[in-house]
Amino acid sequence: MTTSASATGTTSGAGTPAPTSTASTATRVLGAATLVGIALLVVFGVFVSPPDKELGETIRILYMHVPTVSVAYLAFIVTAVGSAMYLWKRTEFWDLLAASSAEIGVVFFGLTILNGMLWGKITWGVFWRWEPRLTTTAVLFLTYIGYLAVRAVPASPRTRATRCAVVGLLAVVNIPIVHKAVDWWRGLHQERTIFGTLKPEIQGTQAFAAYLGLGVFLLLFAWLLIHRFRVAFLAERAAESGLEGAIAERRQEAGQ
Amino acid sequence: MSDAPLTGPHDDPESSDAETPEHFDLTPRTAAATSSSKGSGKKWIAVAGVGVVVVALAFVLFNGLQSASTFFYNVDEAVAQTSTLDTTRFRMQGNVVAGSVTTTSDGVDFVIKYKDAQVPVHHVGDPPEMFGPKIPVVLEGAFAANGKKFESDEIMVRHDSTYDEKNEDRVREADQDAKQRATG
Repeated sequence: MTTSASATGTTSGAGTPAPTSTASTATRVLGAATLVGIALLVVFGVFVSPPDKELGETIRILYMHVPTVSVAYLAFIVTAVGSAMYLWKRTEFWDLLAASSAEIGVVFFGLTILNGMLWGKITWGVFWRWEPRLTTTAVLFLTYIGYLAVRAVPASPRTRATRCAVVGLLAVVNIPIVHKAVDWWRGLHQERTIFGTLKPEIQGTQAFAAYLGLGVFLLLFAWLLIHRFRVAFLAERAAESGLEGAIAERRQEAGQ
Repeated sequence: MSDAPLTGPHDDPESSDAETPEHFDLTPRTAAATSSSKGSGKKWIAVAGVGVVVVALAFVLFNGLQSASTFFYNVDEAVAQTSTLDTTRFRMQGNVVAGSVTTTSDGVDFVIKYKDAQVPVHHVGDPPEMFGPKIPVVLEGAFAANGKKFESDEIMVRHDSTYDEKNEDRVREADQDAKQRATG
């Protein structure tokens, strides 16, 4: 492997030009569908669906809150699956999938906490209380920030992947605890409305907006995950070619 | 194995950098090459980051476990424990009794009820927007006058998992809590 390194790292190890974009026809279609979905969600969530009898306009925050938290859970589950598969197969694909998904999960979980706090301030009267759902949520959030921090500790790709896979598997245990916290302990947060209930206590356009939000955010997640994975893959190739370049450079220096 | 410091032109990146400083910035270095010479600094920052997260987790768990086990008592439970609770601060849940709400100079007075127990409340401060008759609330404060009155300084409105329904149904949630306590 004596490929000369380019300063920008845009050539792959084999010397063939690396892709200049992470987009493909499939992701463009997915992205367009997501955009249309978001537009529809805005129309139904903000204009068409009526305000709630008790919550008034703030129910619209929940059309974001439930989808963002659902995507975050899904993302963390994908991370756990990727972590388990990495420990079994030891392939870069599963490691990068786990890491990409965790990053998106953290973003969506952070959004969930933010829009939940806004809703809480208006409805409960407080932004935050150390009640069971919120406490377990904070623990889950910090655990996945921890996952990203572990990922940032310099190590060989293999060591890093193994460390992260262990964290990714341990962290997912908290999701059922967060989800069931409203049933197991007393708190401020309301019980589940959609997941785990046979008869959701929400109807009409309110229910439609809620389920539309879920669908749209799932599309958004798929779109983000594919792109993030491709970026991670290219970053690995760039790091490899950078390393090869550095070695070649040192050999040159030593030979002088 | 000798512990003598390396002085010659070895392929140790730091020593060669130190000896040929004029070469250091002239050749473009890639991210990987740079990180190998500054690796230990970056590593410590990352390890410190992991440490910060662990400390934050410990803080959250400590805070959470302190208040999450019994986030609130229902009115009947609080009344039954008047002597033990004495004047310590705690949270109490119940429904605001219809027709009991009167605005005062420094806040609001009302009666809070759960099952057969009810307690008059003096609240200091503005109640939240959704506060009103029949609404389930969690109050923060302490008993006064031997448990005959509750002095509150924070009202939190609970919302249940139903949407677009009438207020009467909200008593259901309070019943669910009672069941949770009975089974837990």
